[in-house]
Amino acid sequence: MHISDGILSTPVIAGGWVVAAGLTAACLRKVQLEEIPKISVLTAVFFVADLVHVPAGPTSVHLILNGLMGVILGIRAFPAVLLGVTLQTILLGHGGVTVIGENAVNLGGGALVAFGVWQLRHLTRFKKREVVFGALAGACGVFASGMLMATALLLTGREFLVQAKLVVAAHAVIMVLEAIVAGTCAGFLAKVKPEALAGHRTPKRAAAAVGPAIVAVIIGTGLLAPHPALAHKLLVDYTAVKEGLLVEAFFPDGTPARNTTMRLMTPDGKVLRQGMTNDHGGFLFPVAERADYVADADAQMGHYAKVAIPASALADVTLSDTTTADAAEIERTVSKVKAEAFPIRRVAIGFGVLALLGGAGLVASRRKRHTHSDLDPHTH
Amino acid sequence: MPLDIDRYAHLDSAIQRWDPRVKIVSMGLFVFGVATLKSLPVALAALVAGIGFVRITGIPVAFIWGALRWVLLFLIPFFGIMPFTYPGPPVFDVLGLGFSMEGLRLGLLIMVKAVAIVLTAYAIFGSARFDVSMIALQRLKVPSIIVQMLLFTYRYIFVLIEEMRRMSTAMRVRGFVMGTNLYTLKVVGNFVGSLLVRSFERTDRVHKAMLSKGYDGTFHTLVRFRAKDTDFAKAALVVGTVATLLAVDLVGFFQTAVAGWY
Repeated sequence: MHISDGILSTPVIAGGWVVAAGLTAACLRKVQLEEIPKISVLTAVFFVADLVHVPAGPTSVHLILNGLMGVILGIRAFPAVLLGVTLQTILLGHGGVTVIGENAVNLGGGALVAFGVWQLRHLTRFKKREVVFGALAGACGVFASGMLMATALLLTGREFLVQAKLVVAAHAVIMVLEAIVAGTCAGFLAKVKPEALAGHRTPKRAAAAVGPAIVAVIIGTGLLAPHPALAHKLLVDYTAVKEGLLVEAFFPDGTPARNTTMRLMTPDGKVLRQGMTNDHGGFLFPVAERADYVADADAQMGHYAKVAIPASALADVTLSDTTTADAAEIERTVSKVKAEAFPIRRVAIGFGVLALLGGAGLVASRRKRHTHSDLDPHTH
Repeated sequence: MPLDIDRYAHLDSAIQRWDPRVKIVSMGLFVFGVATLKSLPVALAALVAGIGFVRITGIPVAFIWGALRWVLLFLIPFFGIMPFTYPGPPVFDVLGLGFSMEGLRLGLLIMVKAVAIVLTAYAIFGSARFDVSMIALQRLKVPSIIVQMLLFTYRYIFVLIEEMRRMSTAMRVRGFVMGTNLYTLKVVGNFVGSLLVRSFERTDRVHKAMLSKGYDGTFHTLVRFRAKDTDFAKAALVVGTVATLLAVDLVGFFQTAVAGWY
């Protein structure tokens, strides 16, 4: 899944390049000459995966295999993905030249998450752990890519909410396919050529520490970093409902701006009505006549936003000249509209739970180290 | 798909004779310039320029079409989705989805630009032997790891495709049919696995052979580049073209497909 040119905002594109360059440099540290052919084979596999279509009901999808890259290459997967994306863009027209950085961050970030998940296998010792963790890594790699892509879209603007949701939904479907392919492939390699898998020779303790650390760091930076950035922009939107004009103030991640002063004005700045937003960040203005209005919200500390409301948008509103609408009515109307917001918080919580599980596993494995011998029954 | 992009490098034309270093830099600027265009008429002009580049190199249309088929295959679904998902005033409804003209224009723009860029890329890398292009990149101070990865990857793409073809023939002979089921996916997983094992082993042999011949991560070559005045004149022409396109685009003479996005 690639983003094309001309969709993301300039700061997001620039950020993509910076992060991609930084991660490439970091992931290529101390690279050995003999590693390069292996990295290149996987880059070629990643490139060719774009051309291999797997039937999925009436249509067909192509595999991404970024999770598998993480499973085999470890952190070297990132530069491989970057190069693969570059070739796909230039030779296949897939994606866009200006967004190579961002696409590499999305897909390569997914590969790194997959590697983190894959390393968690060292914490367990059951027979088919390569299959199970390979599948988990494949799924997490694709899912993380979807989330990163959705984050990039949402950082560009709230108008991409629909696309962001579609992206996550599409990735959720591919996730299942990728999980099965990556799991089978990892199981196959574990049997046939275990030394080809990433982290095969890593000492257990180091692997156990690195895996969860990578997962936590990437998920933390990927999902928490945009949060304060997003929270700095206040947005105002309006919906004409039967009871009046519902104006909402919120931050781009969907958090409502509570206790924010909201005003309804005429286009020339005369304040008609004023009020404080409720817990849902909304305020319901009764409308006395169908005219052009301007609504603004001031959440203090420089957070200010306004929106123009044309008279044509008020066609369905029942006119009334009461000064304030009933509080219960506001609650009801606002929560009805709010129900459609993107569940980024729930998803973030889900990732948090995963990271916590990883951490708990790490603690458990540290304890195990003291009781078990150095012999790992699953590696020779 | 013709992935052996340098099949027609032996032809003789102004682009084939161009110093690869100067060519890569100036045409690279062209590609980046085209990628940032925002209005459809200017993008169409860039497409014409891209077609012009390919015509000059003399690469047969059938060869280019083989590549473009894939590009269009990727872009058409996108082009169909964009009008329905782009937030813009809907012109009419299809099954409850608003068809937005803005989205259609954006879809067209993305498609035209992508085709122009792929054509230019074929003019860049189709007009010199791939190893010569890589040496040019090395002379341009691209990190040697990246150059080596590019070269190996390029090589392995053919190896992989060849290997995949052989393996899938073998699978079909044994009666395998792809379907939407768990079994197919497992087979694909094992397929990728054995593809990797075969490739790793081959890679190992090749790499050892290279090491025994003294490979140390740099490419030693007898190819010498000498940029002449005509090379820089061609570069000025290409860079001037893209600068003009960008200027026309920025002046706002044409309606941009992405009003208010930047």
